[in-house]
Amino acid sequence: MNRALLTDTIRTISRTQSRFFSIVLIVALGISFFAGMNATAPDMKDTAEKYLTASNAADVRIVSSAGLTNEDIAVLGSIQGVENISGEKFVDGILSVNDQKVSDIDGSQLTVRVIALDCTKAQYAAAGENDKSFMNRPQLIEGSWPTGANQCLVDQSQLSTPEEFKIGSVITVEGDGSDITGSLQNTQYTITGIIRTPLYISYERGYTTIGTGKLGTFIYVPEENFLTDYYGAVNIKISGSEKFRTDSEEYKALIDPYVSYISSISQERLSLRVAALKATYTALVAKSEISYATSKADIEAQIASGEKQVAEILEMAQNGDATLAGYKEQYNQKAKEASEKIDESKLEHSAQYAEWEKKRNAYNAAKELCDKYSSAETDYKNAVTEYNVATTQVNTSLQTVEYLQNLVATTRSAIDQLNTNQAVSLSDIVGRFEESGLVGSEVDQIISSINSWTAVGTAEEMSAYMEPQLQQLEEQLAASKQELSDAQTELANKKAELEKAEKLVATLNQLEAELKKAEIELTQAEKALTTANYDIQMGELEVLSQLSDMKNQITNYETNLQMAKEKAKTIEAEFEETKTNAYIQLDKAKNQLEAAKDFLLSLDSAKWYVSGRAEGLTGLDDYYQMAERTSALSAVFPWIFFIVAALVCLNSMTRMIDDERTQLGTLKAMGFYDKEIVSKYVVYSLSASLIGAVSGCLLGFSIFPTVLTKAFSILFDMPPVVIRFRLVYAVPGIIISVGVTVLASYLAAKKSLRTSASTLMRPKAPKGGKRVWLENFPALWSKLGFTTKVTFRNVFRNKKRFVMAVIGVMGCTALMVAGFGLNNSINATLKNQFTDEEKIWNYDMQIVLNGSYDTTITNCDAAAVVSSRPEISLSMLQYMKVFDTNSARSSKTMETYLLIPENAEIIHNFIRLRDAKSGDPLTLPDNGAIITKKLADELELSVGDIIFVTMTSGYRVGVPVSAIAENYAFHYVYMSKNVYKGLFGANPRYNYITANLATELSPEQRAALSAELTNEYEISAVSYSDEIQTMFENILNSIGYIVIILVVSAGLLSLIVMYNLSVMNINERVKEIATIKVLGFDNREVSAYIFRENILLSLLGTFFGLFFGVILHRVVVAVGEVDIVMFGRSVGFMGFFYAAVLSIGFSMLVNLILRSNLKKVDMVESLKSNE
Amino acid sequence: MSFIEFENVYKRYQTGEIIITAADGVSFSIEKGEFCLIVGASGAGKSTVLNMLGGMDSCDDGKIRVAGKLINGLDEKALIDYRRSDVGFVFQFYNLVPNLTALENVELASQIVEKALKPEKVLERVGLAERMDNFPSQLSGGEQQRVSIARALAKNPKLLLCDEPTGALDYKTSKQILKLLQRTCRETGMTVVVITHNQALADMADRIITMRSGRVIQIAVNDRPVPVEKLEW
Repeated sequence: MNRALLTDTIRTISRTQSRFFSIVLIVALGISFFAGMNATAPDMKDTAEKYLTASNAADVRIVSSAGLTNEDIAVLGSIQGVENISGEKFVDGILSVNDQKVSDIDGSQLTVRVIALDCTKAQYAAAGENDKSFMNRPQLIEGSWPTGANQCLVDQSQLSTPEEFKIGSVITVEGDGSDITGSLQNTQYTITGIIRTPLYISYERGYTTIGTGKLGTFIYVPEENFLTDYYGAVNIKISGSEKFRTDSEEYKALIDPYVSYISSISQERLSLRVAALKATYTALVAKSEISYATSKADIEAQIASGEKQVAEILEMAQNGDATLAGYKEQYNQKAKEASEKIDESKLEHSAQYAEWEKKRNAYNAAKELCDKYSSAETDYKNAVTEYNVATTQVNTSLQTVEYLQNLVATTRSAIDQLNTNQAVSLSDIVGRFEESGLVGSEVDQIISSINSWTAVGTAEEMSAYMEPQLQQLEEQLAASKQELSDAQTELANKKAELEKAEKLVATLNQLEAELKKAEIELTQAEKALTTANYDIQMGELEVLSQLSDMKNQITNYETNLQMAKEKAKTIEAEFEETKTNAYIQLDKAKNQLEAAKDFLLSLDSAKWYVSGRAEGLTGLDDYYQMAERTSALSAVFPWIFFIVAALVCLNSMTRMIDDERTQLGTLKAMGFYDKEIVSKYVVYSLSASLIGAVSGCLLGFSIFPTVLTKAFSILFDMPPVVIRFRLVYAVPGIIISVGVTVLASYLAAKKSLRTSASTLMRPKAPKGGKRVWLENFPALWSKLGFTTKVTFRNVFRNKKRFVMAVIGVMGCTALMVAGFGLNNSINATLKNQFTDEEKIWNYDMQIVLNGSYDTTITNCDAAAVVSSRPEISLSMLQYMKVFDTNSARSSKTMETYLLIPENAEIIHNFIRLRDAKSGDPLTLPDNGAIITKKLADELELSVGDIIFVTMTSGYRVGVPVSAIAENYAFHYVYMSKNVYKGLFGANPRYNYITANLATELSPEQRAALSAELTNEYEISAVSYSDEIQTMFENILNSIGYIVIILVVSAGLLSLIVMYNLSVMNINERVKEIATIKVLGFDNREVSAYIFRENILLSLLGTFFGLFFGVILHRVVVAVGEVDIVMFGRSVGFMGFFYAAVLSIGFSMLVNLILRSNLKKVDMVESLKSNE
Repeated sequence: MSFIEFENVYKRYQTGEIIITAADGVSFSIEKGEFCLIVGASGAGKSTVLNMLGGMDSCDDGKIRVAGKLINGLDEKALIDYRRSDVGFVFQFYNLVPNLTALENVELASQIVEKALKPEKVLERVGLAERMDNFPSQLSGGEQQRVSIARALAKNPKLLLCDEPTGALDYKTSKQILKLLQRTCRETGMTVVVITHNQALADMADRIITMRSGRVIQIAVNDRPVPVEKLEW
């Protein structure tokens, strides 16, 4: 290439950067998808390979339920080509974390495999030592290796491990109805680390003989914990195996002969072991059977005697009631009598009381009367005094009268003497007065008056003198006489009064006597009354005290009786407990016996499971299959991108060459060779596509495997994916994309150069217009608006552009339909199975029983306990166990749950069985089984076919499929118990209770309910259905990554393609655009004129994309669908809607971006000639 | 006041470090209904003048008036309206939309103008009644140019601008096209401005503006224009 040409090429690149980079980008996008998607599968395989090599995974693995002995190992080790051999001890049990039972993803009790680990070797291996004899090395992800016997390492899977699996948590392992301590020294372990092991690669952990039969998780414990001398598995390393990849034919060719050889000798080895075991176990079973029978009889006898005792106590308690009733009756009788007697005395008392009252009234009357006369005596005394006073008065008056009479007489005599004897001396007269013996003032006066006399006067004088005195005396006498008479009258009055008073006093005295009498009588009556009263009170008191005594007696008796009764109850309860315990012991013994018997029986069908890596390492095969499915996906997806990318590049380059037509002609005219001219375009397209291809490869190889394996990481326990630059995909990818682009440019340039230089320099004859097929329908065509017609013409004129745009948008829409559809499918799974109104799993909780119960023989008390709980509205016993199923039509073997309800009438309350097609409700038939949809699909079964169920014992039965039920999680075979009995010759032994809650419970109430239920001996675990739902959501959400990948890549595709095409469209039609601008189209009209085409193309692309999306959705669902889950099959209206809206939206976005480009088109362009 | 007035109009283009003065103080006027020729050699600035007159380009200085309206001061929207309703443009290379039939190409213009003439009528007038439904590729150059003229006329503009309308046509066809333009001018009274480098056409025009190096060097008014048929070149 000439230097000027090279310069021109480089200049062209920098001048047409947008074109150049659009090629880079689209090539990068196409190839990153192509390379990335294609590399994912081999990257996954390489990851596995690296992991298997690093962990020194066994080539051959032998597992035997009968166990393998050291002799077996010696024999196997002697096989030529066996490089290393080691035994692996393990034991299966039921797990609890921090004393809590844990439930598995299917709601069953989490089973655990305890695997022995040589911790020293493990640590050496972790440090980098490659001891070939140490196989299936676990890798420590977190924490540290155990340092003590009671420490363990746990599984890292997010699905199979409970949340409580954290470093420091304590794990307890126990047997499933049997004792595990015979095999394990410790049953309690502290978690010290989290590991990943090649033994378990997928989240499915394989089978076990306990629980539902599905192994839940595993732990590694230091091997010194194992007390057994046999091995559960033997791992073998074949010499030379490390030379080949696990997925290679060579490897298979190397290993397969060993597998078949070991299988062929297995029967011989096994029979030795079985014989030995049989000998031991037969004896053991026989012995146990006897001891069981003995202890059963013993316990039953004990129980019988206990029952009798309890009955006695109960009877006593009951008789006590009768006695108490007697006492009570007595008491009542007595109380009645007493009250009658008291009533009687009270009656008597009241008579006396009446008497007394009468007496008291009489007395009161008498007293009143007496009181009335009480003044009589005083009156009488007063009368006497008054009478006496009167008498004295009379007497005094009499004396006065006498005195005065005497005085008068004396005086008279004196006077007379005087008159007569005149010669009488004074003294005689005085003497006379003195001699009269009269005493008184009057006398004294007279005397003194006489004495006053100096001489005796004449008689007349004397008499005259004496006369007035006498007169006065006589007057005085008369007055005194009057006084006397008055006094006498008074006295007479007083006397009368006195007499009256005397009479009254007499009356009073009489009355007083009467009163006295009445008083006496009253007193007597009172006394009588008091006595009576006292008698009554005394009587009453006595009766009351007697009654109260009786009452106390009764109360005491009652209390005692109550106590007795309670004691009887306790005794009864105690007895019940003892009885239950005895039965539990008996059950345990029986379970152990049964287990031993089962084991003995299973020995007949015991087998060595000899397998290579793919089957031996659980889930490795699934992992490879997942890788295959991913590569199937990469067979579809990247091509859309690839084709579109190639088309876009091709178009870009052709367009570029057309643009530079004149230059081509000029160069040709100047005498350049064709190849020199062409080289410019080859270099241009080569550099663009190469840059795009290489960067696309780099991006694709790192992004896609990472994102996709991230999506799968929840399903597979693998180390982070190994990212490799894969020439296998890079080279063809680069060659194809670069080749197509370069070839397209080359051919386009060549084609142009075929014409003469002069023609080239002249404008290219414009392409002829063509009618579109739509014009054949004039009726329709003429109705269309003018611009619509133009749009249609333009759209269909450029076939290349049309195809590209439609494919691009179609791809975008299809990817989005697939993406949104996948989302819908995932949601449909969740919705239909768990959350919808008509959800399939309608139960609220699942209760795991500690054993299995044939209800025709033994009662399942747990069922009664569960159904009696007020929180639980309905419950159902069911049999549920995992078996392999297969069919004559398919080579597949499916892990399937066999579910048999005890009561087929109520199963619809817990599981809605409905026809997968019609949605009609199904009932369990009497002559076949209902199987679930995905199981039917996988085994290619339809109604009427036979499905085979292989029991763990190897026993295989066929049952006709009578219906296929809708179901989205796990695989189920539903049977009625009669069908089961018909097939297996025994009743199902129920091991689960499914229950519905009566009301919504709070988390605390739930916890309490499950705690209380698990306290029941027969219940070992309780799980709620929404816990299972959460686990499912986790699985399904991981698949949601794919949705994001799809939508994002679809958006990118759409944007790039539409942008590219639109830019090209505008560039091609600059002159046309300029012309219509000159014609006077405004910006809006110009945009509409051009973009209408884009919109039409988008609509067409979207339309086809919706159809193509449905197909793509199916592919994606097939890849994304985990085995145990069936996704919804429909995209859903909203999926179509979003996809359509988004892809049209992307086109609109492109239009919006390009509006300014249209604005920039210069009208002057219209004047230029065609270049 | 003339129908078209150019008053000291300048237009400069900068390409890299060189400034090209495409219109260097152009002044002229054209009366309504005139058939005007702008003549000059390649690069004389006649296309620049036409672009500015057609509202496709702006001037850097001076004044351009059409029917008394100042064109160089219009905003984008007014300019679009101007192009839409006042101007018809005939391109040298016809600029027909290849994907549209003759009729549809005319409709392309007529549908955006309210006072538009009926496309069929216009096509009939340009003598293409029979070829209406043909695509451009099915038409000869002259026919295509007639479609282009029809498209310009369909808008019923005040002013018809033609950029070397016969530039890509042979002698005979050129005559036909020129005749059509002349006839249009005479019959409809439309002002027609034709750019050409062909000096020989001068006699058919009412007014001849001669340009060189971006300047108007001569303006001639022809009182007796001759019909095209009589011209020879």
